[in-house]
Amino acid sequence: MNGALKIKILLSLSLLILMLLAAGIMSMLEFRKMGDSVDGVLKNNYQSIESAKRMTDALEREDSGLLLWMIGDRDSGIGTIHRSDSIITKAITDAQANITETNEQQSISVIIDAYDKYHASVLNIVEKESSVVEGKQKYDTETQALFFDTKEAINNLMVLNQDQMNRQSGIVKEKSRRAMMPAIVSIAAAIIFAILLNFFITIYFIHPIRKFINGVKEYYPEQGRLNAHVVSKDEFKILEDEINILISRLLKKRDASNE
Amino acid sequence: MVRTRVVIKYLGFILLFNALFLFISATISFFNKENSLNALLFSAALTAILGSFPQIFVEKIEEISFHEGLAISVLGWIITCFVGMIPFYIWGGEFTFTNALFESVSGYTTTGASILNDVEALPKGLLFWRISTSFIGGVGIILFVLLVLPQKKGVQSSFYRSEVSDLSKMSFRIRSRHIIRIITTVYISLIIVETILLKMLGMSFFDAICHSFSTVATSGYSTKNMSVAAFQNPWIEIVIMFFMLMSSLHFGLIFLTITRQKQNIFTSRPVRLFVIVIFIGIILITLQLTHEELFGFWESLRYASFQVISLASTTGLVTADTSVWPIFSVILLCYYTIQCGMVGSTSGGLKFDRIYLFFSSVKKQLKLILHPEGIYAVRMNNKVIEHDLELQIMVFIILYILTFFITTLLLSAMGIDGMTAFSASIATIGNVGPGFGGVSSFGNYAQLPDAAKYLLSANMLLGRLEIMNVFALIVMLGRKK
Repeated sequence: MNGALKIKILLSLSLLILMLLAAGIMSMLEFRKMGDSVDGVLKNNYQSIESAKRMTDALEREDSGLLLWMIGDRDSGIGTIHRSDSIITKAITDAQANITETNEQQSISVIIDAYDKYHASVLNIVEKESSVVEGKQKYDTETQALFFDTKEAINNLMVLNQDQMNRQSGIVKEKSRRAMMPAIVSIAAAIIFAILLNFFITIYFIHPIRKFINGVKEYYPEQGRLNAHVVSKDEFKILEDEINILISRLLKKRDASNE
Repeated sequence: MVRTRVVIKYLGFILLFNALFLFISATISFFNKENSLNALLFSAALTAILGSFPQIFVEKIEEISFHEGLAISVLGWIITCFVGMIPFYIWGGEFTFTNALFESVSGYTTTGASILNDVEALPKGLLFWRISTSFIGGVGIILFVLLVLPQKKGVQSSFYRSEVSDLSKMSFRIRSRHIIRIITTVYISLIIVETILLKMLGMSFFDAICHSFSTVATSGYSTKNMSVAAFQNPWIEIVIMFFMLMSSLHFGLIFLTITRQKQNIFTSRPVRLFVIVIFIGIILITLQLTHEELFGFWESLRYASFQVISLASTTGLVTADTSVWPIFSVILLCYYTIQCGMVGSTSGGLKFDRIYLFFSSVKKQLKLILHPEGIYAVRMNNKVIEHDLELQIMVFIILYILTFFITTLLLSAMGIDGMTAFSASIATIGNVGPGFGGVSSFGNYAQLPDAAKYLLSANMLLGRLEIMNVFALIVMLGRKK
């Protein structure tokens, strides 16, 4: 019985702390999830889009290199072709290291296949030392079509990631809305908790004190006991018992002095 | 006088009982590495904290009054429904606040009406929680709480009086503690046996246990979008039909049958009549489906049997799209939605026994008109029904009809078509689940406006609490003021 009130207060505060902890952890987890989604959008999809853009730029430069070669600036043309090839190869490697979508691997394979054919066609023109007329003829009949195929394949990769990015942004938006739900539930729970706490404090703390006040107000020596009528088995009950013992001691002393 | 702190203490116990199932669902989620883990764990923690709080302050209770029992019973159901929605609401998906509340009320009241278009999109942990609400609600959360609490006799009997209808108690003249134990023993035994059988017939353990919960609690929640039709297995359908039928009978009578007592399901006249009425329905619908050439005879028999038993037991599991069935069959199925199962079972709604007593009472009144001096009594299982109980049943039937009439009217006012409004109303107050029209067997309640969902949620609760208890509590609270 000793310390019953203290235990009640301690336990209720512990529960309050637990509830706050649960709400806090849940909110943190939700925000982390949201952060992960944003990170996913930026890292995964945006990186793939960037790689695809680099591939397109390099592909166009390689095509320009071939045209330079055809108009007679052969060294400069070959240099541009080789530089562009290494950029594309690097961009393809980057994209392969960053596969996040279901069809992305397949999309990259199509690019590799298309680019290999295009690059082989370019090399076929420049390495054979063909004449301008022959080169132009091969470019018109074969290389240009392969160039467009490769560009379209790269474009498909970009569209795939852009679509996913749009979807992800929708998911992030939904997640941010959902991140509020635990907070709303926690607020509702905290309000219920506060109402309950207020109720129990009134019943188990305020009411006994009021009973003591009324008991003291209405006390007259002939009744012998203080009528506080505390029902709980805590310090208030002990206090009531002690007051009654004190009263009986005082009454005994008064009777003794009267005799 | 109702002691608020006593009511709060017991509501706390109810929350703790729910928290236990939330933790189990969270464990399932954890082992399946699902995204519902946080929502379930958070809900479990919150429920456990709120449930433990009153236990710190409120001392042990020696006895509770009938009024306190009634308040705990009604408020317990309402609070439970709000707690049950938390994991749905936090998880998201198709669950808005209204949808989460509707799904939770539907689960606890074992209605099985759903707002989900894609049940299979739900993670297993959340699916288990959804079915758990039916399991808890099936036998009545208060009875479960009583079973686990070593309480005094006064507490037991007060709860028992408020939670179990007078009509249901008639079959038993045993102490409340024993009855509670018998009901829960039969309930859990049926679930175990059905789970084993379904597993043996090829269902996964998870599906088997979920469908057993659903069948024995007569809720009708399934783990599949196509309900039982997804399994395309006649043996599974036969097992589920048997258990749906068993679950719609008085659990006390099932116990007496197993223990070979004189009074059992074979000797009970209402049970015999109940089975005959179901049998007639199956035959009539089979004949019409065959005649209209919707299916061959055996297929018609298969679908008609399942749908009639499913609706008559208020389960609501589905093997066929009844919305395309001829109108005569639909009207017959509507009758079974109104009739419902028997008292003392997990099925909700009007209950067959009340209809039986209603007609017995009508017969008595007719005899009294012919022989005004005669003395006649209404009997059930050779027991004379007291006049007060007879009157109580009449009042209940009137209130029941009035409630679903008002609900239908309000739904129609919201712009919902007549058939959908009518069938949604009877399917929810009867705790059946699927109706006809826009809420047919393969449909759902998702397209209804939010106001309609709130109205139907209230309807489900009224049906589960047998209306009178709710009105009694409202009158009691009004008087207190």
